[in-house]
Amino acid sequence: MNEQELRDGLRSAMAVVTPPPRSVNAAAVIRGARRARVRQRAIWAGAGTGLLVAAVLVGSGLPLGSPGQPLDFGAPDVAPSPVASKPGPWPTGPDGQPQEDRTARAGERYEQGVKLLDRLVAAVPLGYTVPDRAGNGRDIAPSRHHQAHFEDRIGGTELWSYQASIEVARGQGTGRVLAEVHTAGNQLPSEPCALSQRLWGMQGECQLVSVGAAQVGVVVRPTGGDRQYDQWAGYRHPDGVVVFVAQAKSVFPVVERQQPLTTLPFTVQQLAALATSENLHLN
Amino acid sequence: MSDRDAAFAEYFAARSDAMRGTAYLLCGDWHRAEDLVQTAFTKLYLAWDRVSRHEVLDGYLRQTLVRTFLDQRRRGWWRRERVSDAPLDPPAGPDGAATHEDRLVLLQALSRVPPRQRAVLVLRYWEDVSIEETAALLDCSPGTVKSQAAKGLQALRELLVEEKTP
Repeated sequence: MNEQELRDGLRSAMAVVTPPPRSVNAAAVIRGARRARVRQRAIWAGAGTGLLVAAVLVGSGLPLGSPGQPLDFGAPDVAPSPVASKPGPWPTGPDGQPQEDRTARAGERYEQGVKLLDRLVAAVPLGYTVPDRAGNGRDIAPSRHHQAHFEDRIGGTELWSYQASIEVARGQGTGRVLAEVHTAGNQLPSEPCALSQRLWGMQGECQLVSVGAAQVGVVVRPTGGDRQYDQWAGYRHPDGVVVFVAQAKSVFPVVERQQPLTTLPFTVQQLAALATSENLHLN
Repeated sequence: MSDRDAAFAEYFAARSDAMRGTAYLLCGDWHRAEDLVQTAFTKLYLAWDRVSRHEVLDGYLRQTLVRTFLDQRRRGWWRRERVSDAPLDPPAGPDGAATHEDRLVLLQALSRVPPRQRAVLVLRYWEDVSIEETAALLDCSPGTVKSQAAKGLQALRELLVEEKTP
């Protein structure tokens, strides 16, 4: 394939894919942007009480945010938007208002993300530490992060995913561990290795590992173009909840000149066991 | 509605579908494409007074979209690149199934090219952005754009072979 063939191929392919109906309109964007701006100004006004938050905003110049809140749309409108809007498909938040986008910023789902992060930190093997460093909103991500994300609504049931990502350090090296949970009713495969290869679409060499009576697909070596993680595992609990865990020797990408770990935090067996652990089994 | 909001709404109506297509090629997922487009337009609205000259808008929006994609990808905050069995919607045209499959295989393969190379391929061959402008959007040199494009094309060739191998 040469350049022109790719150009033609992309146009030809995009002509036959059908996007879903658009769920965001100009009114929603304007409303969200205003909320972010109000919030930003409020934080600046109270800078004496929020130096850390202010530092993040200075770095980003935009409403990028704290764990669980990639975009800070949390504050209410000072004045209603003059632009007519129609409701989006998002779930209702704890304040009784629809969410602004897929990310939960408070409430039960948000708390599940917090819980996942706490439990992932607690699962790190002895000998490793878990740094707690804020990001700068640009090229340095926070060393710990969690997020609760609305995936879909099937048959009236809301499907959610929770993600927690942490850096893990030992000696001079720093790597990364991830947990991602999909609530019951998800459409992910049941076959262990097919399931494991669905984490972010990453491909790799998969092994079946037994944990008690459970069979876990563990990808022990990535083979595709996306190699952010060195190993990952996926497990479907009997109630349908899916748990993925992943580990990498290095932080991707190496923007802070961090040295990688010399060994992965978990053995293959331990990684499989972590995927089946009740501690990460959240719905 | 203020003149500012009206102008923004008009621009959103004109450009959001095209941007959604670009976002989809970047991330391989319509839901996430929607989120990227929303984020990019939100940032554009906040910067509207600075960049509302129309000759600048497209470049600003494109840059915001691509950088947001790369930034989120790098952080690992967004985990989904291709999570569905049928990530690409069923064909709607009258062509034969094999032709459609070939087209979809290209999109599948593209979604597996490393993110920065993928961004270069999408900007250069979907958006038809020049090497120099791509370099400015990605904050790198024209030479880097050339090498990333070459590597991305090579990766795509290899992935296409892999995707087509039973």
